[in-house]
Formats: sequence, C-alpha cells, structure tokens
Amino acid sequence: MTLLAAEGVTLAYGTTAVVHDVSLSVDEGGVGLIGESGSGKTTLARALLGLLRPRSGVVRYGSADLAGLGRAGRAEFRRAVQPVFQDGSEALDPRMTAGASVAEALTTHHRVPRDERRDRVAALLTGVGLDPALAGRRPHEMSGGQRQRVAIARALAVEPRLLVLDEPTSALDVTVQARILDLLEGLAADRGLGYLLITHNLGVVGRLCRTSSVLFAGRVVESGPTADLLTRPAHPYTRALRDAVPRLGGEPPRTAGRTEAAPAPTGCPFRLRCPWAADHCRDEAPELRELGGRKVACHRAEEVLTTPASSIPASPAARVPRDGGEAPDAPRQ
Amino acid sequence: MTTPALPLYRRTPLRRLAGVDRLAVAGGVLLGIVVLAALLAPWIAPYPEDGGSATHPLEALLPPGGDHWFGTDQVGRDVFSRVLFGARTSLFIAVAVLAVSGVAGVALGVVAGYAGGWARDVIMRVTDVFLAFPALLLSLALAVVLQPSVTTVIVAIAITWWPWYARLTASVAASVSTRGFVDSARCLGVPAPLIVLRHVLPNSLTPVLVQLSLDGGGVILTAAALSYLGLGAHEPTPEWGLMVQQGQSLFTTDWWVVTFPGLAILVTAFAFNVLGEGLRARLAR
Amino acid sequence: MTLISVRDLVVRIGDRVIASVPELDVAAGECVAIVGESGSGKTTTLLSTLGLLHGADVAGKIRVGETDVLTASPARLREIRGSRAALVVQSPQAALNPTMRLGTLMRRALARHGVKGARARERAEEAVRAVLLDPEILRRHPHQVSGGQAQRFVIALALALGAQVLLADEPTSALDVTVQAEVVAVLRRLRDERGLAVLLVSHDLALVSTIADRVVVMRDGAVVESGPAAEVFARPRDPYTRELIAAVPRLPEPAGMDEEGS
Repeated sequence: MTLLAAEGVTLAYGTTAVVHDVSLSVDEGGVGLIGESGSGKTTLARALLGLLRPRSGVVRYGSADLAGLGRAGRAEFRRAVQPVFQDGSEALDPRMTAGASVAEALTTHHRVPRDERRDRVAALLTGVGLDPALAGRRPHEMSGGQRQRVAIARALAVEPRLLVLDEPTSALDVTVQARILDLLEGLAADRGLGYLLITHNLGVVGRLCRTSSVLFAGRVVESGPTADLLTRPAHPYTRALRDAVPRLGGEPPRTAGRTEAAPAPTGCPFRLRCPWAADHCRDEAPELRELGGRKVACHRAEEVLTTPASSIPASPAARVPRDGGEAPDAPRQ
Repeated sequence: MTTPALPLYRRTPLRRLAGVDRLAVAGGVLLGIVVLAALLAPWIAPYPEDGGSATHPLEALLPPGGDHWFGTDQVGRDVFSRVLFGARTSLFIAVAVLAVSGVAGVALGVVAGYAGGWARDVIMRVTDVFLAFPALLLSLALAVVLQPSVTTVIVAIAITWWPWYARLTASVAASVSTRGFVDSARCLGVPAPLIVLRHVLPNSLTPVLVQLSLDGGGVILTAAALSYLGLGAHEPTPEWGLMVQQGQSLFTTDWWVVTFPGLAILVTAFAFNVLGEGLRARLAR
Repeated sequence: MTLISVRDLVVRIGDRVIASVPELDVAAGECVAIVGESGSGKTTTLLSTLGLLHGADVAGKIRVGETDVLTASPARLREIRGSRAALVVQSPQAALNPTMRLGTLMRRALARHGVKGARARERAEEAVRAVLLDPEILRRHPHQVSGGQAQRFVIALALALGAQVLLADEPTSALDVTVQAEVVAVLRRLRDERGLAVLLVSHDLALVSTIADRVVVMRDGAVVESGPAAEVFARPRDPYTRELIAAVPRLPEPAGMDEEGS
C-alpha cells in the first residue's frame, strides 16, 4: 500500500527548478532514492516531509493531498512520517540532552505524565541499542553512532509508519554504519516500518529497499526493483553509479565520465557524461518508458542492458579532453 | 583537526596572544566595582544626603582633600558621593535600555529569522527605517518632544538601539532555522511558537548577549551626552553627564567638578567594552 | 626506494598512548593504507610523519626521504611539506584562499620554489592534466569548483611542486561515489606512472582494497594486523579485521552481462 507519493512534482528555489516533474511512491517495502549531491534528492525529500511546497504537482499522504490537509490530518501525517537526517549532531538540538530530545517527541502529540516519561524515554533508547544512562548527555558528549541512534529513537517515539532517511550512515565509520543498518533492518521486520532511503551509495540500498529510483539533475532516470537496478542497470547513469562503488578486493571502481560536466540543457541531460550518447540524444530528451518490469529514460537502454563491462564505449569527455564548449561554466551545487 | 601542508592562510590569533582572558576578567572586576558602588552608595558615600538636593553654600567648590576626596561642587555637595550615586543612575539607564531594546530586538529578530518570507521583509524594512536615522539625532529629537527625564533618556536610546539587535538576531535565527533539529521539530508537528522558544531562540542568543555587553558602554556614553545637552536627567538627580555639563564652565578654575564624573563615564564604558570583547573572543574559540 | 620510514613510533598525550606503530614503510610507487575507525590513531600516525602533531609527545624514528622528521629544524620541515611531501585532507576547499584563482595560487606556490613565467605555466598545466582536470580550471576561484575538483587540484599543486610522497587523510569520504572513483583513479595513476609513494588513511575498507598494496589495521592506537593488501583481505587473522571486512556493504554481483553481450 502506498504510504506517501509524489505525483508530477516540480520543486524550485526562487526561479531555478531543481526537481522536474517527478513521480515516486513509497510503500512498506522500502524505497531507495539514489543520486549524486545536486541531483535534487534532498529537496524532493523535504517536499515529501511537507517542509517544502511543490511548485506544481501533488504530494499525497495516503489518498489525501498534503497541501489540503486540515489540522487533524496534518497531525496524523506528522505522526506517521518522520525524518532521520545525515548527521545526528545536526538533527539534535545542541542544547538539549538526548533524553530531552526524545521526550520532546513523546509529548508533542500526547500528554505523558512526568514519571512515565522517564521510563518511556529509557525504553526507546534501549530499543535502539543505547544505554538509557545516555539520556543525560548532550549531542557533543556522544559519538556519531550514538547520536544517530538517539535521532532514530526520537523519530520512533511518535510510532511512525515511515522513516525518511537522508544519508543516515554516510557520516559514520563502516562498522557503525553496518550496525545502524542492522538496527534499521530489524525495525522494518519487527514493526513493519517503511523507509524512504536517500543515498548516493548503492551499497546501502540493497538491504533496506525493495524498489529504487535514480535521480539525475532533478529527474527520475530509472526506477524499478532494487535488485534489478544493481545487477542489470538499464540507464548509463545507474550503471555509472553502480560501477563507482568500490568492492572489497574487486576491480578498481570505474570512473563515470567526467562528473564535473554539468547536466545538458537540451536533449538528454546525462548525454555529456554518457558513453552511449548518440546524435539522437542531443536532439530529443528521452521519456520514462517501461522496459522489462522497470522504467527508464534512455534512448539506448536496450544496448546499455546488454553491453558487457569490457566493451563500454569511452565517455565523451574522455574522447575530447578539452570539451566544455557545451557545458555551462557553472559550479556544481 | 588536520593542518594542510599546502598554501594555507590563517590569521594569527592576536587576541589570544594579548591575553584575552585576563582582559575579560579585568573588565568584569572593573564593572563589578562600579556595580558595588552603585548598590552600596547610601552606605559607603561619606555624605549620602549630597546624592540629592542638599546644599552647603559655605563649602562650595572646595578642592579635593581629606574631607572631600573629589572636592565639592558649586553648591557645596561632595563630588565623590555624587559620583557614587551617579553610578546608580547610569547603570540603571544602561540596564533598562539594554533590557528594553534587547528584548524587543531579539523578539522581533527571532520571529523574522524563523518565519522568513513577508514577515521577515516587513520587520527588516521597519528596522532599516530606524537604522537610517543617526541614533543620537533621533534620540535628540525624541528627547526634545518628550519631557527631559531619566525615563525619556531610556525611551529615546532604546528606540534607536533595538533595530541593531533585531537585525543581528534575525540573521542568526535564519541560519539556526535551517538546521536539522529545527526541521526535525517541524516534522514532529511541534507548533511554530514552541519551535521558536525551545530551539531557535536559545541557539540564537549567544551573539546578541555578547553585543549587549559590548554596547553597555555606548549606552552610558549616549545617556551622558543627552544629559549633558540638558535633554535627560535634571537637577538634582546625580547623573554623570549632567555633572560634567554643570561643571564645564568651571574647568579652568575648579577642574575636579568635571574631571571625576568624566572619569567615571570613561571607566564604566571601558569596563563594558573590555568585558564584551573578552566574551566575544571566548565564544569565538 | 623507501620514501617514508617509521620505526617504534609512540605518540602520547600525557600518560595516554594514542598511537603506537612499530614499523611502517612506504616505498616509491607504492600505496600503503592505514585502516581503522575514529579514535584508532590512524590520523595521528599520518600527521606525526609530517611533524604536524602539536601538543603530543612523539617518540621513535620517522624518516621522510633523507630527513629525520623528529630532529629536523622547523625550516627544513616546512621545506619538506612544501615540496617533497603533500597532505591531502577531507575538505580541501577550506585550505584554498577563496580570493585567488586556482592558477594564481599555483603560480605563487611555484614562484616560491623559483619556477616562474612560461615554465611555471607549463608545469601548472601539466600537473593539472596529470590529475585528469581540464587546465581551464586554473581560471576559476575555489568556490567555482566541486569538492572532487578541489581535491584533485590540491594533488596537482603538490605534483607541480615536485612532491614524491602523498599523505591522504580520508580524501574521499566527503565525496559522491562517482567523484570518489575519479580521485581513486588519479591516485592509482600517480602511483603507477610517476612512482609516487601514497600513505592513505581511511575507514572504508572497500575503497582501500582497490588501491592499497599493503594495509595496516589500527585499533585504539595499536596496530592489530598488517601485511600485503590481498593477503589481509583474503585471510584476515585478527578478529577486528574480520569485523571490519564483514561491515562492508555488499553489492550483488552484476548479472551475467558478459555472457549475454558476447
């Protein structure tokens, strides 16, 4: 069942649109949203959290338009959907103790008697694998992993159905990362909690998300079952993201064309970085289309699917080292 | 944590070399003495009645000596006692102005910073209008319209000072409002007024507190200037600016009448500045 | 040729040992990685090899090139850091003067080493190309380049000054995976084609496994395991190394694309 959905959402800061006509639906199975920094993934997450109004399009909670929710509906939405941000030190008020942060969440929607509050906070901290004695610590007195657990406990305090996780582990050491992912996996199994996981690292989506969408320059370029995207990507960008992930003892990561090339203003936005780019890609922007159980926006997806790793064409940037005539001279966001 | 080996431009921490902490402590001690003098004036002043309207025509304009450490003024009042009582007036004005303008400025600033959009625009345009007037000129105009009194001085100065705090707070609050913990509170459904009080305000306060302590000296100087121009405190209120004004014609013959209240102004303003500067350096660390 | 050699290094703050490394050598054309979590002492070790550790007691023997780091004069150390050995940090943009174009920065650095005029321009462009950047980047200011570009520019700067040793402290952990792959490609290339000695500090084992020739695993200030990278990753002896390896997120292997394609 769809918990939260974007339908044709366009988002803009001032006059610059950063997300173009994106549709995405999040269900209990977990959904990954994958892209580089500047792809618009965090902006889209803010819209799904109701922190940013779409320029056009609709964000739906269940069947209701988020923008049209009344007071009661809004409160219900707030209880059901909670964020966990990249860095616990950013997401926790530096002046509040861990206990106070969790207690704030507990008491926002319900009156909780003072003596009961302490026990509930302790239970929530224990639930995310923390010693309840940490309740008295402030964020700067805890490790990165502990802060992230407190942030998760705070989100869980309202008993949500969906967590929006924005790069929840990328600021952490690998072993801590793995433990946080274990925790999230366990929570999904025990409570039927759904996730929208936003990340640039394909290595983490596989564990938590049944389906994924890949975002490039504010557009969905591929979406479908996560396992398919990881094993047989149909879009050159998905493939580039996948091949860039370092594997233990594996081949060195493959570079994905020149990442500094800005999205092309006309035709396919990825063409300046794309090894498969053809004349057709310059003239016509590809639409999202169905292809074997997934959606992909690429004219040459069939070829991308079947080209072996050993014969990927050289990317355009590699062919013309002094390229840049077409790429606007702007810094990446 | 790490120091790159490549071209790196880093300012030498001059303030730290200068022994900021000692400076701040010195400012605090100095200010403490002034506060003590103000609080204990009725008990430590050798002639407490001279803090008011007493006159001793026979002892007028005595030079500093054993009985009168700072000499006496035109009507024979002990200048030392009046300087002590003057500390009460000056500090009261300073505290009142900073409290009124600080509370007003911070309240408006934090709302503007959190709300953004048109609310921010309206509040910021109003503060711009106030900031466009030279502060002393606006205070002067107000003091002329209202009756000269200590209250007038407080109102006049506070009206010209709050916009600074509003602007400072608004910019800090705007950046605090973009932080994750504010978004997190919004996503929990915490009502906006509570978010502002609980998260935005406490995390925006530090720079304003530093600015307030730096400004204490400025308020005392401005108050003294207004009183000096006859627009503030009036006889027989012991006020340092007023005392300077009343004694200035005597400077060539009876220097002590002007000099000691003038020094009191200087020392107090200096103490505030040093303390504020010390706090700023400490918090910047 | 061994360019970095560390023997019996013990770093203390007060009575507490924060890093202890009995032996660490990095030869020309070799990449050695120190792996561990925050607090393991890996960055401490890296910084002490350049004499950059302040407020701590450093004992032992550290040699960079011909220079004994612990007894060298401050002037000599500055010279080494300026030319022979360069430090690459996680967020290089903070180390670049924002008011100067990258080319100007590079030119001034070269001028300090007596390289001027056309020769300086040539060297700058050559170094920038060596890190797979377009020389056009020299016309930009630091805020006009991405994190990955800034990272590679800092490496180019070191190259132009003739660095033979690169010390990299989590050089890619603030970057997107795609950009990270570029930086790794650059490091590999410099090691293989120019014979640079690279000492890399990272908590990311998967990344390390794609570039390091040898690995040193540290925990709580001590070395728990070290050896050739392939050996350590294939047959970890220490339980902690095994834990680190188990923590690496796994990607499913690409489906049999090669068969399909051929």
